[in-house]
Amino acid sequence: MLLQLNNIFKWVNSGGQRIFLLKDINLTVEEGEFISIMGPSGSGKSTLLYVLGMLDGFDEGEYHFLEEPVHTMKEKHRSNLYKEYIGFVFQSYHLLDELTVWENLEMPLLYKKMGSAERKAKVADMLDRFNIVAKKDLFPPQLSGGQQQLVGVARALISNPKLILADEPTGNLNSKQGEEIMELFKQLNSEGVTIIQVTHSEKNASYASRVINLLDGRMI
Amino acid sequence: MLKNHLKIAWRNLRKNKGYALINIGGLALGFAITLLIGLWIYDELSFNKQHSDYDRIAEVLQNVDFDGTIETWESQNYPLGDALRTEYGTYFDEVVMSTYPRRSIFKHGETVVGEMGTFMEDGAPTILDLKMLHGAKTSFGEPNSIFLSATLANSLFGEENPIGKSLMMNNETSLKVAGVYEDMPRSSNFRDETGYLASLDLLMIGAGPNKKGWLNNWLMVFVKIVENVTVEQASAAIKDVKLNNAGEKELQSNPQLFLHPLSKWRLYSHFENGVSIGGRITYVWLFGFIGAFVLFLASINFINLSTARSQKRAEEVGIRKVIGSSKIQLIQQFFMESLLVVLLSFFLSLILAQLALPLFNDITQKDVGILWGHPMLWVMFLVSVGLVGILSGLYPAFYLSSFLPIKVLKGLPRTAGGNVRFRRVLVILQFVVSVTLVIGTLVIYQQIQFVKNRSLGYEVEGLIMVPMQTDEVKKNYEAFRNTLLESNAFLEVARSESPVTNTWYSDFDFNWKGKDPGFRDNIFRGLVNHEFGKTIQWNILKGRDFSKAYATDSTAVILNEAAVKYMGFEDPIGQIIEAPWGEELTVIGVVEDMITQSLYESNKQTMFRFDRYQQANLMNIKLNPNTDLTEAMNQLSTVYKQFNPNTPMEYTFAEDQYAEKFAFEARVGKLSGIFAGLAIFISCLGLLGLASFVAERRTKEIGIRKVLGASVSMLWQMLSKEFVGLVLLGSALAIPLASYMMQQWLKDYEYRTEISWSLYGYAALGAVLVTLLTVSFQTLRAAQNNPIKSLRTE
Repeated sequence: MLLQLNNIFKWVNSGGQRIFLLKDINLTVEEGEFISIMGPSGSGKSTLLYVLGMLDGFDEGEYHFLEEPVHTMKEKHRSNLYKEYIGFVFQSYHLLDELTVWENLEMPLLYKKMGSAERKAKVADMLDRFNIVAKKDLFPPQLSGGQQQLVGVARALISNPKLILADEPTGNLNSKQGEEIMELFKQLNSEGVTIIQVTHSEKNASYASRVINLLDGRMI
Repeated sequence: MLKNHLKIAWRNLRKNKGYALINIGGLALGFAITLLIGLWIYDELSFNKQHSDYDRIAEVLQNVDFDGTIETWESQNYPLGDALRTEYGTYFDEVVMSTYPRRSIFKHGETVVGEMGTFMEDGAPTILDLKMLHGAKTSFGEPNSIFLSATLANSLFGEENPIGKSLMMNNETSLKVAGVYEDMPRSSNFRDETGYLASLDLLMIGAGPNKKGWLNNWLMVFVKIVENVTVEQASAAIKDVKLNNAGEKELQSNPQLFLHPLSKWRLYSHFENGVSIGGRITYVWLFGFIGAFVLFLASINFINLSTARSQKRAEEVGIRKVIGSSKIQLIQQFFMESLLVVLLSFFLSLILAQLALPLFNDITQKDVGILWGHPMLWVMFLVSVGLVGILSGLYPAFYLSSFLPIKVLKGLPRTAGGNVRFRRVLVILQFVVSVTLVIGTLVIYQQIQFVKNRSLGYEVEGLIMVPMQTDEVKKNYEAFRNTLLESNAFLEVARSESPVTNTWYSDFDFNWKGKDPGFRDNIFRGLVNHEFGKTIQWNILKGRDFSKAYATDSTAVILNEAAVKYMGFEDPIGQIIEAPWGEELTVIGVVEDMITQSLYESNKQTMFRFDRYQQANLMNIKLNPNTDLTEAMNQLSTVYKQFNPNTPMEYTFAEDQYAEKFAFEARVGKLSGIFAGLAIFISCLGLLGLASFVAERRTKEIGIRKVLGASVSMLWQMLSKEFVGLVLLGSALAIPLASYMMQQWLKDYEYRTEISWSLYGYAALGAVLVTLLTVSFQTLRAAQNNPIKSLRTE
């Protein structure tokens, strides 16, 4: 078992009323799964994803990641955990525009305080694997959307995470580029990486082995 | 990681060149100003410090009482030197009397040079701390020998060693060169007085009893105190020297002697009622304050501008956190960036300061340079870079690094964040300072204008003054005058003792009808000849001018209005005034008050006496206003040379002397003008910071308003209003502050302008205009943005 959510509630208070963003979520994810989270706008898809990614907290319930209780963990421990095991992919890529492709890929390794030689080897390896060696000295704005997202995925993968969380990874891409990214996910999944993605598209959702539907913060 | 941080910082700067320029440039400007002011202060504080007996040299001053007003005089009489030496020898290593600087003409072979120097007693080399190039210090003091400064020696003798060579002084005395010393440094009070040093004994040869008596104060007295006696002890000891020695007449003014130490000459030489009340030190404090404030404003601005953009960095912070950055690492990154920028600013400021030095030295009349090797510079460097770097890094480092990544990455509406209030206070503060400086500058110029408009009582235009330095000139005066007057380039030539722009001699102990016997008088003296009044075009109000038609005019005097009032004459003409030397003087006329001293003080009681013994050694030459100046000057020097081949002509224009009177004020005005300009500039940077911040914060609001139909000009108005309000508030606070400060400043001037309300109005209006110009750049851009774009970002 990779992670488990038990009775997760998340709310905000607005105008004296409690508005639930997540309501009684129970979810178990095994290693190697490929899950799509679907639902209309405002149904809590992204919130759930960020809760899973430990970027967002929750108000009630329990979250175990690799048998460890995330809900009682200290900030530092939690951040170490996710640095180790989780990679993020965003709809709008969120690459650092001031850094080249190479430097963007290198960044997470720098934060992990990895040695220079090992870093170089890993980055080179990743460029090779994604076939973007030629682009290594370009800055993100110089790339097409598909290429940027490729870099985004590569960056998420570079520290060998167990889990990739993707928030509408193809939302800004045309259908051909989108398809390529989905194929990539499928291949990564077959190599053993657990993937959870938020998506609007039925077609993209169908790449997954399991689909979770949300409505008003509830799993249906 | 460090490399990575620097790389990001550098690329960020390159990406926003305009912003980087303003930010780095603004801070560099602040640093540069502070550096220059620091150099100025350093120079002022270290004045005279090169003297190897800095703590032991002092000048003997006296406080004299004139009817309750205590005046502090530098001048002393001749017997005082011996009195100090014999009665108080245990306190002093040296007592040296010195004349005031005099201009003398030196001739060696065909070379003739005029130079300022002094006649001093034997201990002069010690008092002045001379650095000998040739000859020994001990050889000073022979009446027939002279010491020369390196510059004078060089212009007379060239490269050769002049020791033992002889030269002619003022065409009458042959002297042997006994020593050559290095020129006094610019940072020495003796600088302008030591072109040559001759023995006081030379001057005293054949001097009459007048020069040797206790009554005539015409010398300065310097002392070197013995090692284990303090200035205070010696000062207290000599207090009554004059009282114990001088005659009754001297005692009337109750002279009290005291020592004014070398360490105070430069900055604490303003005396009021016998007590040192400062002097230039006021300006040291003022400039120090301005310097600190400029640095403060520039630094805060820098922080302000840096953080105004921090919203843009929020996304980056989010990403970095997601890909594994810890808070500490982010904090490090932001500090690194701000340190880099501050460092760049500092080096830029060194370049700016270096470039501005010539101008700075010109305005301040100094000779300062950046003290590259001085540890203070680098201490200041470390402190200011460290402080500003850390302060400007603090906000982004701690505020931004605490962002929850989810907020920025999910594209939730960005919180306005930041301290709008803090920025507003900052802008107000900056404008308080700027407007205060602007008002100060305006008042200074108004005061200068005011005194310039003051009626002089005579005509300075086309008035040339030529000193008669040698017997040759004095002997040939009449012939020279007649030859000049043959040409129509010259209207009149007259003699006087003092230049009309600077009357400094005074006499006391006169007697006249109606004088209160206890009244201790002091009347300024103008020793002039027949043509003087016509030459300077004074206005006789009552009676008549001196005239050759009256033989009795040899004992005639003309009083100015102030003197008439001072002496209390109802009907001044014909009044007899008894002079202290026994003569009876007759008042023949009253002349309109003339500004013969300070422009800022009321006119002083002055008595113009006929120069019957031809003591007046200054020629006043009035040019015909219709002649070409260059031609007239050529003619003048030709005629002069013809009569006086052995005395080089030196001349000053009365107009220049007149301008000298407000040169200091003009300099202060210029400096404060520059400071005001820079303060405005720095304040505009602060405004720009606020404007861009506000524009960004209100992007959405502007977008919505536009969609609802607001025009660009309406938006511009809406956005500008806030800033105008702030600046007006700043001005409103500045006006009472500036008003108080400038009233205090004006208090020092007896003759002063009134500050008009319109002046405050102009200053505030100017500030508002500058504000509108500055913020319009930002507001118009924000107002012109396509609303779709701005709304979509939300």
